[in-house]
Amino acid sequence: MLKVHNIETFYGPIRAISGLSLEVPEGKIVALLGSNGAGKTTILKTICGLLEGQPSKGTIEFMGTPLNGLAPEGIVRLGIAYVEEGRPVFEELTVDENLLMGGYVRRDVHGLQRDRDRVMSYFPVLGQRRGQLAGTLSGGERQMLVIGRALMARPKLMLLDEPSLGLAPMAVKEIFQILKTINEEGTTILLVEQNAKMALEIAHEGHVIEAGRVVLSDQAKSLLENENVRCYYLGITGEVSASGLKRHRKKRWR
Amino acid sequence: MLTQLIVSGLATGCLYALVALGLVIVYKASNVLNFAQGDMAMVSTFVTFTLLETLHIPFFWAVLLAIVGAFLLGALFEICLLRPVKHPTPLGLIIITVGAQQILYGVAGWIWGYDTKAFPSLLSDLKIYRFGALVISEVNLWILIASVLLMLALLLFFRYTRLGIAIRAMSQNLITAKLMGVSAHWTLSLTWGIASVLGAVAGILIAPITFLDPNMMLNPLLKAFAAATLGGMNSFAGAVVGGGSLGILENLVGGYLTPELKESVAFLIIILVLCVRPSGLLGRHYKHRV
Repeated sequence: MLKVHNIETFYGPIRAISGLSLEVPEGKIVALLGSNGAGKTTILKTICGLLEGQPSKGTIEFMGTPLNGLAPEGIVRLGIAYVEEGRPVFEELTVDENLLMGGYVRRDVHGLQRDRDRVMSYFPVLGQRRGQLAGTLSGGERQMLVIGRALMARPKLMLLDEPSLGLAPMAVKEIFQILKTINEEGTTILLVEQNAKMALEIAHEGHVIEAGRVVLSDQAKSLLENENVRCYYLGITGEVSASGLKRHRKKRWR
Repeated sequence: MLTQLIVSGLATGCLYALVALGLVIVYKASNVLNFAQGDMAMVSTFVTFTLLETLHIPFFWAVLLAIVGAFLLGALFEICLLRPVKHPTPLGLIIITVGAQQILYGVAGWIWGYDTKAFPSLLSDLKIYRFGALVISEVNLWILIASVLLMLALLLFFRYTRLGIAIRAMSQNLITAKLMGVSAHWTLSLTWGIASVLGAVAGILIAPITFLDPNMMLNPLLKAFAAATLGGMNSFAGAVVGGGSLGILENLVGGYLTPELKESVAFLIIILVLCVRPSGLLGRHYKHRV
C-alpha cells in the first residue's frame, strides 16, 4: 500500500533519514520502533509532505501514486491521515467541530454523520463532551479526539505518532484496543511508538529504526522474542553480573 | 440626552467594529496587523463613487459591484504581496502592509485627486427618524442595520459553515489544518477578501458623513485599532464589543466633557488596556498544554 524507497531527508545540512526503505502492506499494523532522535517522526512527516523539498532523494508511493512533491493537503486527500505527536486538537473549536474538520475533505453529509456516530461509539467520552471546547479536554480525551478526527476522513492509511506518550496506562490500553479494532475494520496503520511492548502486541510487523536507517525488520511476534529488542526497547535484561548489576548486551545489528 | 448620545455613538461604534473585525480576522488567520485595511476600504469607496458618478450605475448595483471588487482586492492583496514572501516574519509582513497602504494612498490620489468630494449617497444625514424621544438620522439608522446584519452573517459563517470553521481551525493550528486537507493558500486569500469587504462596507457607510478623500479612512482605522485592542486582538466578539463601546464612550466624552477630547479617548484607551489587561476585554491567551 505504502512504499517508501531509499529516501533521504535533511534538516538544513543535517541528514535525519539516510537511505530508508519501508513497506506497509494493506490491512496491516506496522510498528516503527526506535529511540529518541532515531528519525521516526521525521519519516512520518516526510511521507505527509510536511517537510518542504524533502525527501531529497528516493521515492514514496501510495497505492501507485508518487507522493514526492505533493503538498500535505493533497496527500491527505489521497486517503492518508496523520495523527501528530502531542495530540494537537483545535483548542478553540468544540469537540464536534474538531470532528467536522477531520472530515473536511469529504462532501457526503450522511456518511459524515454515520462516521461521527462511529467515532463516538469507539470513544463514548467524546459523545459526552460534544459541545465542549477541545482545549478543556484531558490528555487521554485529546488523544481520543485526534484519533477520532483522523477517522472522520475515512483514511485508507493512518499514520500515528506516539499515541501513548504521557498517558496513564489504562488510557493507553484503551486507545491501543481501539486501534486494533480500527485496523480490523479495514484501516491500515503505521504506528510510531516508544512503548515498544504495547506497539508490538497489536502490530503485525515491526521495524527498528536507528540513526535514520532500518536496522531490523521482522514479524512483530518475532521482534518481541528478539534479544536485542528485548534488551534495548523492552527493557528486559537477561544477564546479571556477578556483582548484581544489570548488564546490557552489545548490540549485534551494527 | 444620554440615550441619544449612546445611540449615535453606537452607530459610529458599529463602523469601528466593522473595520476592527477586518483587522481581527486577518490577524487571527495570518498573524499580521493590516495597516492597509483602511486604505483598501478607501479605494473600494472611491470605486463605488466612480460607479455611481461616472458610470451612472444604480446605487444598489454599484454597491454590490464595489463589494465584489473589494473582495477581489483583498484576495489579490494576499496573493500578490504576502504569499510570495519566502520566509515570512510578522514584522516583515507588517512592513509590507504599511508599504501597500502608501501605494494605495498614492494611487488613489493619482486617480481621484486629493480634494474632498461629496459622496452621492441615497442616505441623508439630515433626514431624521423619531422613535419616541429618540432622534436618529437616516444614515445612522442604516449604519446600525447594515452593520448588525453583516456581523450576523459573519457570525453564522464562522459558526456553522465548513469553510468558516476551517478558517478558525487554520488560525489556531496551521499545520494540523493542512493535515485535515484545508488548502491554506486559498483559505487565507478568502479571509483577506472578507476583511476587505468589511472595510469597504464601513467606507461606503461612512462616506456620506465624512466625504471622500484619500485620507478618509485614516481616522476610522486608528479607532478600529483601538477598538480591537480594547476588545482583544484575537476575538471576533471582542472587536464588536470594543468597537461599540469605543463609539459610545467617545460620544459620551464629547457630549458631557468636552468635544476637544473626543478624538483622544481612543488612544487613552489603547494605553490603559495595554497597561491593565493586554489581551483585551474578551481576548484570550491560550496556555498550550503539551
